[in-house]
Amino acid sequence: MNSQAPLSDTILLIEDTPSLQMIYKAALTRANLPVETCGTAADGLAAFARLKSRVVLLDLMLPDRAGLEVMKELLASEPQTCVIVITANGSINKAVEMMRAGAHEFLVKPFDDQRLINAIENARRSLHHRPRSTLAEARIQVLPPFIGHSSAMLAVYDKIRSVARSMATVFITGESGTGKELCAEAVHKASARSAGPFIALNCGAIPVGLLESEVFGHLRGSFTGAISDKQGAAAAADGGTLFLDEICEMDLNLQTKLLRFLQTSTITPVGATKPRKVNVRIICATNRNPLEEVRQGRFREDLYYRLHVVPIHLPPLRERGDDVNEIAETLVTQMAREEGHEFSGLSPRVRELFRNMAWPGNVRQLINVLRNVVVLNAGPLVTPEMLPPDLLSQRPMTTREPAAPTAPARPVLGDLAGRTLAQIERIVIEDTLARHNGSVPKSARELDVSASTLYRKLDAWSKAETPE
Amino acid sequence: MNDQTRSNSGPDGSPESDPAAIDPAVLDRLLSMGDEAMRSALCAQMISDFQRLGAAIDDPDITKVAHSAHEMKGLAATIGAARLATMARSLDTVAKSLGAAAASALVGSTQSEVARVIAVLSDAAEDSSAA
Repeated sequence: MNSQAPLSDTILLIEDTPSLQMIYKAALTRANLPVETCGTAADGLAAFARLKSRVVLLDLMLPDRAGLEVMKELLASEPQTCVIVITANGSINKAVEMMRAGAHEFLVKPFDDQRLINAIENARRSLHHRPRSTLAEARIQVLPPFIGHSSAMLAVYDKIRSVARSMATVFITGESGTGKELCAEAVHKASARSAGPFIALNCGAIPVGLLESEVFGHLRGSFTGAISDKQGAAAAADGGTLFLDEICEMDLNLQTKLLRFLQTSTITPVGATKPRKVNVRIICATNRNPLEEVRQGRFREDLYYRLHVVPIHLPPLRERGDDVNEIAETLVTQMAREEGHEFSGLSPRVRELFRNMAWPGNVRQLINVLRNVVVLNAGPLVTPEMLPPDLLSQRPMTTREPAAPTAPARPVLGDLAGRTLAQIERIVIEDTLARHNGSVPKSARELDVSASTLYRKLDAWSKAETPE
Repeated sequence: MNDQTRSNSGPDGSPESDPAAIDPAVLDRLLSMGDEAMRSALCAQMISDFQRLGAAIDDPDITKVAHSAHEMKGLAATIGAARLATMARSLDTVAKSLGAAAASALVGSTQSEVARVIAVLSDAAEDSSAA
Protein backbone atom coordinates (compact mmCIF):
# COMPACT_ATOMS: atom_id res chain seq x y z
CA MET A 1 0.00 0.00 0.00
CA ASN A 2 1.48 3.36 -0.97
CA SER A 3 1.52 6.18 1.52
CA GLN A 4 0.15 9.55 0.51
CA ALA A 5 2.74 11.40 2.63
CA PRO A 6 5.13 13.59 0.64
CA LEU A 7 8.53 12.08 0.00
CA SER A 8 11.54 13.42 1.88
CA ASP A 9 14.44 15.32 0.28
CA THR A 10 16.92 13.52 2.52
CA ILE A 11 18.90 11.09 0.41
CA LEU A 12 19.14 7.62 1.87
CA LEU A 13 22.53 5.98 1.28
CA ILE A 14 22.64 2.21 1.87
CA GLU A 15 26.29 1.14 1.58
CA ASP A 16 28.02 -1.46 3.72
CA THR A 17 31.63 -0.29 3.39
CA PRO A 18 32.12 2.39 6.07
CA SER A 19 34.88 4.24 4.15
CA LEU A 20 32.72 4.49 1.06
CA GLN A 21 29.80 5.68 3.18
CA MET A 22 32.03 8.48 4.47
CA ILE A 23 33.31 9.40 0.99
CA TYR A 24 29.85 9.53 -0.60
CA LYS A 25 28.39 11.36 2.38
CA ALA A 26 31.19 13.97 2.23
CA ALA A 27 30.54 14.54 -1.50
CA LEU A 28 26.81 14.97 -0.94
CA THR A 29 27.25 17.21 2.09
CA ARG A 30 29.65 19.42 0.15
CA ALA A 31 26.93 19.80 -2.51
CA ASN A 32 24.43 20.77 0.24
CA LEU A 33 22.42 17.59 -0.21
CA PRO A 34 21.04 16.15 3.06
CA VAL A 35 21.90 12.48 3.51
CA GLU A 36 21.34 9.66 5.98
CA THR A 37 23.51 6.54 5.83
CA CYS A 38 22.91 2.87 6.65
CA GLY A 39 25.20 -0.15 6.37
CA THR A 40 22.74 -3.02 6.04
CA ALA A 41 19.55 -3.80 4.17
CA ALA A 42 17.60 -4.10 7.43
CA ASP A 43 18.75 -0.68 8.66
CA GLY A 44 18.16 0.81 5.23
CA LEU A 45 14.57 -0.44 5.00
CA ALA A 46 13.85 0.78 8.52
CA ALA A 47 15.28 4.21 7.71
CA PHE A 48 13.28 4.32 4.48
CA ALA A 49 10.04 3.54 6.32
CA ARG A 50 10.75 6.57 8.50
CA LEU A 51 12.21 8.96 5.90
CA LYS A 52 10.33 8.07 2.69
CA SER A 53 13.27 9.39 0.69
CA ARG A 54 12.71 10.56 -2.86
CA VAL A 55 16.16 9.32 -3.85
CA VAL A 56 17.91 6.21 -2.52
CA LEU A 57 21.53 5.29 -3.26
CA LEU A 58 21.71 1.51 -2.94
CA ASP A 59 24.79 -0.68 -3.00
CA LEU A 60 24.19 -3.88 -4.90
CA MET A 61 26.06 -6.16 -2.49
CA LEU A 62 24.81 -5.87 1.05
CA PRO A 63 25.77 -8.31 3.81
CA ASP A 64 22.24 -9.29 4.85
CA ARG A 65 20.14 -9.17 1.65
CA ALA A 66 20.52 -8.87 -2.11
CA GLY A 67 20.19 -5.35 -3.47
CA LEU A 68 17.50 -6.46 -5.94
CA GLU A 69 15.21 -7.64 -3.12
CA VAL A 70 15.77 -4.45 -1.18
CA MET A 71 14.95 -2.31 -4.19
CA LYS A 72 11.76 -4.25 -4.93
CA GLU A 73 10.63 -3.72 -1.36
CA LEU A 74 11.39 0.01 -1.53
CA LEU A 75 9.52 0.44 -4.81
CA ALA A 76 6.57 -1.66 -3.65
CA SER A 77 6.26 0.70 -0.73
CA GLU A 78 6.88 3.95 -2.66
CA PRO A 79 6.82 3.54 -6.46
CA GLN A 80 7.70 7.22 -6.90
CA THR A 81 11.12 6.74 -5.28
CA CYS A 82 14.17 6.86 -7.54
CA VAL A 83 16.70 4.15 -6.69
CA ILE A 84 20.25 4.73 -7.91
CA VAL A 85 22.20 1.49 -7.80
CA ILE A 86 25.90 1.53 -6.93
CA THR A 87 27.96 -1.39 -8.12
CA ALA A 88 31.58 -2.44 -8.41
CA ASN A 89 33.00 -3.15 -11.83
CA GLY A 90 32.12 -6.70 -12.87
CA SER A 91 28.53 -6.58 -11.74
CA ILE A 92 27.17 -4.91 -14.86
CA ASN A 93 24.81 -7.76 -15.67
CA LYS A 94 23.36 -7.53 -12.21
CA ALA A 95 22.95 -3.79 -12.61
CA VAL A 96 21.13 -4.32 -15.88
CA GLU A 97 18.76 -6.67 -14.04
CA MET A 98 18.21 -3.92 -11.47
CA MET A 99 17.39 -1.37 -14.17
CA ARG A 100 14.84 -3.71 -15.65
CA ALA A 101 13.32 -4.13 -12.21
CA GLY A 102 12.83 -0.36 -11.88
CA ALA A 103 16.13 1.23 -10.82
CA HIS A 104 16.55 4.80 -12.00
CA GLU A 105 20.24 4.63 -12.82
CA PHE A 106 23.37 2.74 -11.89
CA LEU A 107 26.81 4.01 -11.03
CA VAL A 108 29.87 1.83 -11.48
CA LYS A 109 32.65 2.21 -8.89
CA PRO A 110 34.85 4.15 -9.06
CA PHE A 111 32.88 7.29 -9.94
CA ASP A 112 33.72 10.88 -9.10
CA ASP A 113 31.60 13.11 -6.91
CA GLN A 114 30.31 15.10 -9.90
CA ARG A 115 28.91 11.94 -11.46
CA LEU A 116 27.19 11.17 -8.16
CA ILE A 117 25.68 14.65 -7.92
CA ASN A 118 24.55 14.53 -11.57
CA ALA A 119 22.79 11.21 -10.97
CA ILE A 120 20.93 12.63 -7.99
CA GLU A 121 19.97 15.81 -9.84
CA ASN A 122 18.66 13.74 -12.75
CA ALA A 123 16.62 11.63 -10.36
CA ARG A 124 15.13 14.70 -8.69
CA ARG A 125 14.28 16.26 -12.05
CA SER A 126 12.58 13.04 -13.09
CA LEU A 127 10.47 13.07 -9.91
CA HIS A 128 9.48 16.66 -10.53
CA HIS A 129 8.15 15.85 -13.99
CA ARG A 130 6.63 12.48 -13.20
CA PRO A 131 2.93 12.29 -14.05
CA ARG A 132 0.60 11.53 -11.18
CA SER A 133 -1.69 9.14 -13.04
CA THR A 134 -1.92 5.66 -11.62
CA LEU A 135 -0.47 2.65 -13.36
CA ALA A 136 -3.93 1.19 -13.87
CA GLU A 137 -5.06 4.34 -15.69
CA ALA A 138 -1.93 4.37 -17.79
CA ARG A 139 -2.34 0.75 -18.81
CA ILE A 140 -5.49 1.33 -20.81
CA GLN A 141 -4.20 4.46 -22.48
CA VAL A 142 -2.70 4.47 -25.91
CA LEU A 143 0.50 6.46 -26.07
CA PRO A 144 0.22 9.13 -28.78
CA PRO A 145 1.34 9.37 -31.50
CA PHE A 146 1.09 5.58 -31.58
CA ILE A 147 -2.22 4.14 -32.77
CA GLY A 148 -3.48 0.67 -31.84
CA HIS A 149 -4.86 -1.30 -28.91
CA SER A 150 -3.33 -4.74 -29.61
CA SER A 151 -1.97 -6.47 -26.53
CA ALA A 152 1.52 -6.41 -28.06
CA MET A 153 1.39 -2.62 -28.35
CA LEU A 154 -0.20 -2.06 -24.93
CA ALA A 155 2.82 -3.87 -23.50
CA VAL A 156 5.10 -1.55 -25.50
CA TYR A 157 3.27 1.57 -24.19
CA ASP A 158 3.65 0.27 -20.63
CA LYS A 159 7.34 -0.28 -21.15
CA ILE A 160 7.83 3.18 -22.63
CA ARG A 161 6.06 4.78 -19.66
CA SER A 162 8.12 2.75 -17.19
CA VAL A 163 11.46 3.41 -18.80
CA ALA A 164 10.75 7.11 -19.36
CA ARG A 165 11.03 7.78 -15.63
CA SER A 166 14.55 6.40 -15.46
CA MET A 167 17.83 7.38 -17.10
CA ALA A 168 18.34 3.86 -18.41
CA THR A 169 19.62 3.39 -21.93
CA VAL A 170 16.92 2.03 -24.20
CA PHE A 171 17.62 -0.39 -27.03
CA ILE A 172 14.80 -0.54 -29.56
CA THR A 173 14.60 -3.40 -32.01
CA GLY A 174 12.08 -4.10 -34.72
CA GLU A 175 11.70 -4.49 -38.44
CA SER A 176 11.95 -1.47 -40.71
CA GLY A 177 8.84 0.65 -40.58
CA THR A 178 7.66 -0.47 -37.14
CA GLY A 179 8.15 2.99 -35.61
CA LYS A 180 11.49 2.85 -33.82
CA GLU A 181 12.10 6.59 -34.04
CA LEU A 182 8.52 7.25 -32.93
CA CYS A 183 9.19 5.01 -29.94
CA ALA A 184 12.40 6.89 -29.10
CA GLU A 185 10.54 10.20 -29.28
CA ALA A 186 7.78 8.83 -27.08
CA VAL A 187 10.35 7.85 -24.42
CA HIS A 188 11.88 11.32 -24.63
CA LYS A 189 8.52 13.11 -24.42
CA ALA A 190 7.40 11.07 -21.42
CA SER A 191 10.67 11.67 -19.58
CA ALA A 192 11.91 14.44 -17.32
CA ARG A 193 14.09 15.55 -20.24
CA SER A 194 11.17 16.39 -22.49
CA ALA A 195 12.00 20.10 -22.32
CA GLY A 196 15.51 19.30 -23.60
CA PRO A 197 16.48 18.52 -27.19
CA PHE A 198 15.75 15.25 -28.98
CA ILE A 199 18.49 14.63 -31.51
CA ALA A 200 18.16 11.72 -33.93
CA LEU A 201 21.10 10.43 -35.93
CA ASN A 202 20.88 7.64 -38.48
CA CYS A 203 24.25 5.88 -38.24
CA GLY A 204 23.54 3.96 -41.44
CA ALA A 205 22.87 7.06 -43.52
CA ILE A 206 26.19 8.78 -42.85
CA PRO A 207 29.44 7.68 -44.51
CA VAL A 208 31.75 5.96 -42.03
CA GLY A 209 34.41 8.66 -42.33
CA LEU A 210 31.99 11.41 -41.31
CA LEU A 211 30.16 9.66 -38.53
CA GLU A 212 32.62 10.49 -35.74
CA SER A 213 32.35 14.17 -36.57
CA GLU A 214 28.55 13.92 -36.74
CA VAL A 215 28.36 12.32 -33.29
CA PHE A 216 31.13 14.12 -31.41
CA GLY A 217 31.69 17.26 -33.53
CA HIS A 218 34.97 18.68 -34.78
CA LEU A 219 37.16 21.75 -34.53
CA ARG A 220 37.98 23.98 -37.43
CA GLY A 221 41.04 22.72 -39.31
CA SER A 222 41.01 19.29 -37.66
CA PHE A 223 40.81 17.66 -41.10
CA THR A 224 40.55 18.70 -44.73
CA GLY A 225 37.20 20.36 -45.27
CA ALA A 226 36.64 21.26 -41.61
CA ILE A 227 36.24 24.95 -42.36
CA SER A 228 34.51 25.78 -39.09
CA ASP A 229 33.79 24.27 -35.69
CA LYS A 230 30.91 21.82 -35.75
CA GLN A 231 28.86 20.80 -32.79
CA GLY A 232 28.20 17.06 -32.85
CA ALA A 233 24.91 15.33 -32.11
CA ALA A 234 26.04 14.36 -28.58
CA ALA A 235 26.71 17.98 -27.63
CA ALA A 236 23.51 19.14 -29.35
CA ALA A 237 21.57 16.64 -27.23
CA ASP A 238 23.05 17.96 -23.95
CA GLY A 239 20.24 17.99 -21.38
CA GLY A 240 18.06 15.85 -23.63
CA THR A 241 18.09 12.60 -25.57
CA LEU A 242 20.37 11.31 -28.32
CA PHE A 243 18.74 8.73 -30.59
CA LEU A 244 21.21 6.62 -32.55
CA ASP A 245 19.29 4.76 -35.23
CA GLU A 246 20.80 1.80 -37.08
CA ILE A 247 23.45 1.54 -34.35
CA CYS A 248 24.74 -1.76 -35.74
CA GLU A 249 25.99 0.13 -38.82
CA MET A 250 28.50 1.97 -36.64
CA ASP A 251 32.14 1.28 -37.41
CA LEU A 252 34.00 -0.72 -34.71
CA ASN A 253 36.47 2.08 -34.13
CA LEU A 254 33.68 4.53 -33.42
CA GLN A 255 31.95 1.97 -31.22
CA THR A 256 35.00 2.17 -28.92
CA LYS A 257 34.58 5.95 -28.70
CA LEU A 258 30.87 5.61 -28.05
CA LEU A 259 31.62 3.17 -25.22
CA ARG A 260 34.02 5.67 -23.67
CA PHE A 261 31.38 8.37 -24.01
CA LEU A 262 28.86 6.16 -22.19
CA GLN A 263 31.35 5.38 -19.43
CA THR A 264 32.56 8.91 -18.80
CA SER A 265 29.71 11.14 -20.07
CA THR A 266 32.38 13.19 -21.83
CA ILE A 267 32.94 13.93 -25.50
CA THR A 268 36.09 14.92 -27.32
CA PRO A 269 35.38 16.56 -30.69
CA VAL A 270 37.69 15.59 -33.55
CA GLY A 271 40.78 17.77 -33.23
CA ALA A 272 40.10 18.73 -29.61
CA THR A 273 42.45 17.85 -26.78
CA LYS A 274 40.19 18.36 -23.79
CA PRO A 275 37.06 16.31 -23.16
CA ARG A 276 33.79 18.07 -22.39
CA LYS A 277 31.10 16.82 -19.99
CA VAL A 278 27.61 16.34 -21.42
CA ASN A 279 24.40 15.12 -19.86
CA VAL A 280 22.69 12.95 -22.45
CA ARG A 281 20.32 10.03 -22.40
CA ILE A 282 21.04 7.48 -25.11
CA ILE A 283 18.39 5.59 -27.02
CA CYS A 284 19.48 3.40 -29.88
CA ALA A 285 17.77 1.21 -32.41
CA THR A 286 18.45 -1.42 -35.00
CA ASN A 287 16.46 -3.58 -37.37
CA ARG A 288 19.08 -6.30 -37.02
CA ASN A 289 19.51 -8.89 -34.29
CA PRO A 290 22.11 -7.15 -32.11
CA LEU A 291 23.24 -10.34 -30.38
CA GLU A 292 23.92 -11.93 -33.75
CA GLU A 293 25.97 -8.86 -34.67
CA VAL A 294 27.99 -9.42 -31.47
CA ARG A 295 28.48 -13.08 -32.36
CA GLN A 296 29.66 -12.12 -35.83
CA GLY A 297 32.20 -9.70 -34.35
CA ARG A 298 30.58 -6.66 -35.95
CA PHE A 299 29.35 -5.16 -32.69
CA ARG A 300 31.36 -4.83 -29.48
CA GLU A 301 30.05 -7.07 -26.72
CA ASP A 302 30.85 -4.58 -23.95
CA LEU A 303 29.02 -1.83 -25.83
CA TYR A 304 26.08 -4.14 -26.37
CA TYR A 305 25.73 -4.73 -22.63
CA ARG A 306 26.11 -1.01 -21.93
CA LEU A 307 23.36 -0.14 -24.37
CA HIS A 308 21.07 -3.12 -23.97
CA VAL A 309 19.76 -2.07 -20.56
CA VAL A 310 16.06 -1.83 -21.32
CA PRO A 311 15.16 -3.48 -24.62
CA ILE A 312 11.91 -2.56 -26.35
CA HIS A 313 10.88 -4.76 -29.24
CA LEU A 314 8.36 -3.25 -31.64
CA PRO A 315 6.17 -5.97 -33.13
CA PRO A 316 5.71 -6.10 -36.89
CA LEU A 317 2.34 -4.89 -38.17
CA ARG A 318 1.26 -8.44 -39.12
CA GLU A 319 1.47 -9.41 -35.42
CA ARG A 320 -0.63 -6.49 -34.20
CA GLY A 321 -4.07 -7.92 -34.95
CA ASP A 322 -6.61 -5.26 -35.91
CA ASP A 323 -4.17 -2.37 -35.28
CA VAL A 324 -3.60 -2.25 -39.04
CA ASN A 325 -7.20 -1.21 -39.60
CA GLU A 326 -7.24 1.20 -36.67
CA ILE A 327 -4.13 2.87 -38.07
CA ALA A 328 -5.48 2.86 -41.61
CA GLU A 329 -8.87 4.35 -40.61
CA THR A 330 -7.15 7.15 -38.67
CA LEU A 331 -4.61 7.93 -41.37
CA VAL A 332 -6.97 7.74 -44.31
CA THR A 333 -9.27 10.41 -42.82
CA GLN A 334 -6.26 12.61 -41.96
CA MET A 335 -4.84 12.26 -45.45
CA ALA A 336 -8.24 12.88 -47.03
CA ARG A 337 -8.47 16.20 -45.17
CA GLU A 338 -5.01 17.13 -46.42
CA GLU A 339 -5.86 16.20 -50.01
CA GLY A 340 -9.38 17.64 -49.97
CA HIS A 341 -11.02 14.26 -50.63
CA GLU A 342 -13.98 12.60 -48.94
CA PHE A 343 -12.64 9.35 -47.47
CA SER A 344 -14.27 8.17 -44.27
CA GLY A 345 -12.86 4.65 -43.82
CA LEU A 346 -12.20 1.19 -45.27
CA SER A 347 -14.62 -1.21 -46.91
CA PRO A 348 -15.14 -4.55 -45.09
CA ARG A 349 -13.20 -6.40 -47.82
CA VAL A 350 -10.22 -4.08 -47.47
CA ARG A 351 -10.29 -4.47 -43.70
CA GLU A 352 -10.11 -8.24 -44.06
CA LEU A 353 -7.45 -7.95 -46.74
CA PHE A 354 -5.32 -5.68 -44.57
CA ARG A 355 -5.65 -8.04 -41.60
CA ASN A 356 -4.30 -10.92 -43.67
CA MET A 357 -1.41 -9.19 -45.37
CA ALA A 358 2.21 -9.75 -44.34
CA TRP A 359 3.14 -6.02 -44.54
CA PRO A 360 6.91 -6.51 -44.96
CA GLY A 361 7.37 -2.72 -44.88
CA ASN A 362 5.13 -2.43 -41.81
CA VAL A 363 3.47 0.92 -40.96
CA ARG A 364 5.69 2.78 -43.42
CA GLN A 365 4.35 0.58 -46.23
CA LEU A 366 0.77 1.06 -45.03
CA ILE A 367 1.22 4.86 -45.05
CA ASN A 368 2.53 4.78 -48.63
CA VAL A 369 -0.36 2.59 -49.78
CA LEU A 370 -2.94 4.87 -48.16
CA ARG A 371 -1.34 8.02 -49.57
CA ASN A 372 -1.45 6.45 -53.02
CA VAL A 373 -5.14 5.54 -52.59
CA VAL A 374 -6.18 8.95 -51.25
CA VAL A 375 -4.31 10.92 -53.91
CA LEU A 376 -5.67 8.88 -56.83
CA ASN A 377 -9.26 8.31 -55.66
CA ALA A 378 -12.19 10.33 -54.38
CA GLY A 379 -13.72 8.10 -51.70
CA PRO A 380 -15.80 7.65 -49.64
CA LEU A 381 -14.52 4.14 -48.68
CA VAL A 382 -11.24 2.47 -49.61
CA THR A 383 -12.11 -0.54 -51.77
CA PRO A 384 -9.85 -3.35 -53.08
CA GLU A 385 -9.95 -1.86 -56.59
CA MET A 386 -8.24 1.30 -55.34
CA LEU A 387 -5.25 -0.56 -53.88
CA PRO A 388 -1.95 -0.53 -55.81
CA PRO A 389 -1.57 -3.71 -57.90
CA ASP A 390 1.84 -4.54 -56.41
CA LEU A 391 0.24 -4.66 -52.97
CA LEU A 392 -2.32 -7.21 -54.11
CA SER A 393 0.45 -9.32 -55.59
CA GLN A 394 2.12 -9.72 -52.20
CA ARG A 395 1.79 -13.08 -50.59
CA PRO A 396 -0.84 -12.96 -47.81
CA MET A 397 -0.08 -14.29 -44.35
CA THR A 398 -2.88 -16.85 -44.52
CA THR A 399 -4.76 -18.67 -47.24
CA ARG A 400 -7.98 -16.87 -46.34
CA GLU A 401 -7.31 -14.22 -48.95
CA PRO A 402 -10.73 -12.82 -49.84
CA ALA A 403 -9.79 -10.75 -52.82
CA ALA A 404 -9.53 -12.28 -56.24
CA PRO A 405 -5.88 -13.08 -56.83
CA THR A 406 -4.20 -10.99 -59.42
CA ALA A 407 -1.22 -12.13 -61.42
CA PRO A 408 1.89 -11.86 -59.25
CA ALA A 409 4.45 -9.38 -60.46
CA ARG A 410 7.43 -11.50 -61.44
CA PRO A 411 10.77 -10.00 -62.36
CA VAL A 412 11.55 -9.96 -66.05
CA LEU A 413 14.69 -12.05 -66.30
CA GLY A 414 15.16 -11.72 -70.06
CA ASP A 415 16.86 -8.34 -69.77
CA LEU A 416 19.34 -9.67 -67.24
CA ALA A 417 20.39 -12.78 -69.11
CA GLY A 418 24.04 -12.75 -70.12
CA ARG A 419 25.06 -10.09 -67.58
CA THR A 420 27.49 -10.62 -64.73
CA LEU A 421 26.26 -10.75 -61.16
CA ALA A 422 27.99 -7.42 -60.44
CA GLN A 423 26.17 -5.80 -63.38
CA ILE A 424 22.84 -7.21 -62.24
CA GLU A 425 23.51 -5.94 -58.74
CA ARG A 426 24.18 -2.46 -60.09
CA ILE A 427 21.00 -2.48 -62.19
CA VAL A 428 18.93 -3.49 -59.19
CA ILE A 429 20.52 -0.87 -56.93
CA GLU A 430 20.15 1.92 -59.47
CA ASP A 431 16.54 0.97 -60.15
CA THR A 432 15.79 0.98 -56.42
CA LEU A 433 17.48 4.37 -55.97
CA ALA A 434 15.47 5.79 -58.87
CA ARG A 435 12.20 4.58 -57.34
CA HIS A 436 13.14 6.26 -54.05
CA ASN A 437 14.18 9.53 -55.66
CA GLY A 438 17.84 8.85 -54.90
CA SER A 439 17.31 8.20 -51.17
CA VAL A 440 20.07 5.85 -50.07
CA PRO A 441 18.57 5.01 -46.64
CA LYS A 442 15.19 4.16 -48.16
CA SER A 443 16.80 2.05 -50.89
CA ALA A 444 19.01 0.33 -48.35
CA ARG A 445 15.96 -0.53 -46.29
CA GLU A 446 14.18 -2.05 -49.23
CA LEU A 447 17.25 -4.04 -50.29
CA ASP A 448 17.88 -5.10 -46.68
CA VAL A 449 21.49 -3.92 -46.70
CA SER A 450 23.16 -1.17 -44.73
CA ALA A 451 23.17 2.32 -46.18
CA SER A 452 26.96 2.40 -45.81
CA THR A 453 27.15 -0.62 -48.15
CA LEU A 454 25.26 1.36 -50.81
CA TYR A 455 27.45 4.44 -50.25
CA ARG A 456 30.57 2.30 -50.73
CA LYS A 457 29.23 0.83 -53.95
CA LEU A 458 28.19 4.23 -55.33
CA ASP A 459 31.60 5.60 -54.42
CA ALA A 460 33.36 2.67 -56.15
CA TRP A 461 31.27 3.07 -59.33
CA SER A 462 31.87 6.81 -59.35
CA LYS A 463 35.64 6.31 -59.05
CA ALA A 464 35.64 3.65 -61.76
CA GLU A 465 33.89 6.06 -64.15
CA THR A 466 36.07 9.08 -63.36
CA PRO A 467 38.58 9.63 -66.23
CA GLU A 468 42.24 9.39 -65.19
CA MET B 1 51.49 14.11 2.44
CA ASN B 2 53.00 10.69 2.05
CA ASP B 3 56.40 9.14 1.53
CA GLN B 4 56.63 8.74 -2.23
CA THR B 5 59.73 6.50 -1.96
CA ARG B 6 57.83 4.16 0.24
CA SER B 7 54.79 4.04 -1.97
CA ASN B 8 56.61 3.92 -5.27
CA SER B 9 59.21 1.26 -4.63
CA GLY B 10 59.11 -2.39 -3.61
CA PRO B 11 61.65 -4.58 -1.82
CA ASP B 12 64.11 -4.32 -4.71
CA GLY B 13 63.82 -0.58 -4.77
CA SER B 14 62.76 -0.55 -8.41
CA PRO B 15 60.11 2.08 -8.97
CA GLU B 16 59.18 0.76 -12.41
CA SER B 17 58.35 -2.77 -11.30
CA ASP B 18 56.33 -1.60 -8.32
CA PRO B 19 54.04 1.34 -9.01
CA ALA B 20 52.49 3.53 -6.34
CA ALA B 21 50.06 1.62 -4.13
CA ILE B 22 47.63 4.54 -4.31
CA ASP B 23 47.38 7.27 -6.92
CA PRO B 24 48.27 10.34 -4.81
CA ALA B 25 46.03 12.64 -6.86
CA VAL B 26 42.96 10.51 -6.18
CA LEU B 27 43.75 10.17 -2.49
CA ASP B 28 44.39 13.91 -2.13
CA ARG B 29 41.08 14.71 -3.77
CA LEU B 30 39.20 12.41 -1.39
CA LEU B 31 40.99 13.63 1.70
CA SER B 32 40.37 17.27 0.82
CA MET B 33 36.59 16.84 0.67
CA GLY B 34 36.14 17.81 4.32
CA ASP B 35 37.95 19.46 7.20
CA GLU B 36 40.95 18.06 9.12
CA ALA B 37 38.75 16.03 11.44
CA MET B 38 37.05 14.42 8.50
CA ARG B 39 40.44 13.75 6.88
CA SER B 40 41.73 11.95 9.99
CA ALA B 41 38.52 10.03 10.44
CA LEU B 42 38.50 8.93 6.80
CA CYS B 43 42.15 7.77 6.94
CA ALA B 44 41.43 5.80 10.11
CA GLN B 45 38.30 4.27 8.61
CA MET B 46 40.04 3.24 5.40
CA ILE B 47 42.88 1.61 7.37
CA SER B 48 40.32 -0.22 9.49
CA ASP B 49 38.36 -1.37 6.43
CA PHE B 50 41.44 -2.67 4.62
CA GLN B 51 42.63 -4.48 7.76
CA ARG B 52 39.21 -6.13 8.10
CA LEU B 53 39.06 -7.06 4.41
CA GLY B 54 42.67 -8.25 4.33
CA ALA B 55 41.85 -10.73 7.08
CA ALA B 56 38.47 -11.68 5.63
CA ILE B 57 39.88 -12.87 2.29
CA ASP B 58 41.64 -15.65 4.21
CA ASP B 59 38.36 -17.01 5.59
CA PRO B 60 37.69 -20.75 5.11
CA ASP B 61 34.21 -19.89 3.78
CA ILE B 62 34.74 -19.20 0.05
CA THR B 63 31.48 -17.20 -0.15
CA LYS B 64 32.85 -14.78 2.42
CA VAL B 65 36.15 -14.59 0.53
CA ALA B 66 34.31 -13.64 -2.66
CA HIS B 67 32.14 -11.08 -0.87
CA SER B 68 35.15 -9.49 0.84
CA ALA B 69 37.15 -9.44 -2.40
CA HIS B 70 34.21 -7.75 -4.11
CA GLU B 71 33.99 -5.13 -1.37
CA MET B 72 37.75 -4.61 -1.49
CA LYS B 73 37.61 -4.16 -5.27
CA GLY B 74 35.11 -1.30 -4.99
CA LEU B 75 36.91 0.46 -2.15
CA ALA B 76 40.36 0.08 -3.73
CA ALA B 77 39.16 1.42 -7.09
CA THR B 78 37.50 4.39 -5.40
CA ILE B 79 40.62 5.50 -3.52
CA GLY B 80 42.93 5.06 -6.52
CA ALA B 81 44.57 1.78 -5.43
CA ALA B 82 44.45 0.42 -8.96
CA ARG B 83 46.75 -2.54 -8.45
CA LEU B 84 44.88 -3.75 -5.40
CA ALA B 85 41.58 -3.27 -7.23
CA THR B 86 42.85 -5.52 -10.03
CA MET B 87 44.09 -8.16 -7.58
CA ALA B 88 40.81 -8.08 -5.64
CA ARG B 89 38.89 -8.42 -8.87
CA SER B 90 40.92 -11.51 -9.79
CA LEU B 91 40.37 -12.98 -6.35
CA ASP B 92 36.63 -12.28 -6.57
CA THR B 93 36.41 -13.96 -9.98
CA VAL B 94 38.55 -16.96 -9.01
CA ALA B 95 36.69 -17.46 -5.72
CA LYS B 96 33.36 -17.49 -7.51
CA SER B 97 34.38 -19.61 -10.48
CA LEU B 98 37.22 -21.90 -9.39
CA GLY B 99 36.74 -22.32 -5.65
CA ALA B 100 38.79 -22.24 -2.48
CA ALA B 101 41.97 -23.97 -3.62
CA ALA B 102 42.53 -21.65 -6.57
CA ALA B 103 41.55 -18.59 -4.55
CA SER B 104 43.99 -19.38 -1.75
CA ALA B 105 46.87 -19.04 -4.22
CA LEU B 106 45.99 -15.36 -4.65
CA VAL B 107 45.41 -14.50 -1.02
CA GLY B 108 49.07 -13.96 -0.03
CA SER B 109 49.91 -11.51 -2.79
CA THR B 110 46.63 -9.63 -2.28
CA GLN B 111 47.34 -9.31 1.44
CA SER B 112 50.83 -7.97 0.65
CA GLU B 113 49.27 -5.31 -1.55
CA VAL B 114 46.74 -4.51 1.16
CA ALA B 115 49.71 -3.92 3.49
CA ARG B 116 51.26 -1.49 0.99
CA VAL B 117 47.98 0.39 0.70
CA ILE B 118 47.63 0.56 4.49
CA ALA B 119 51.20 1.91 4.72
CA VAL B 120 50.35 4.80 2.39
CA LEU B 121 47.15 5.50 4.31
CA SER B 122 49.07 5.45 7.61
CA ASP B 123 51.48 8.05 6.21
CA ALA B 124 48.53 10.17 5.17
CA ALA B 125 47.03 9.81 8.64
CA GLU B 126 50.32 10.87 10.23
CA ASP B 127 50.55 13.88 7.91
CA SER B 128 47.02 14.73 8.89
CA SER B 129 47.63 14.57 12.64
CA ALA B 130 50.91 16.50 12.31
CA ALA B 131 49.20 19.32 10.40
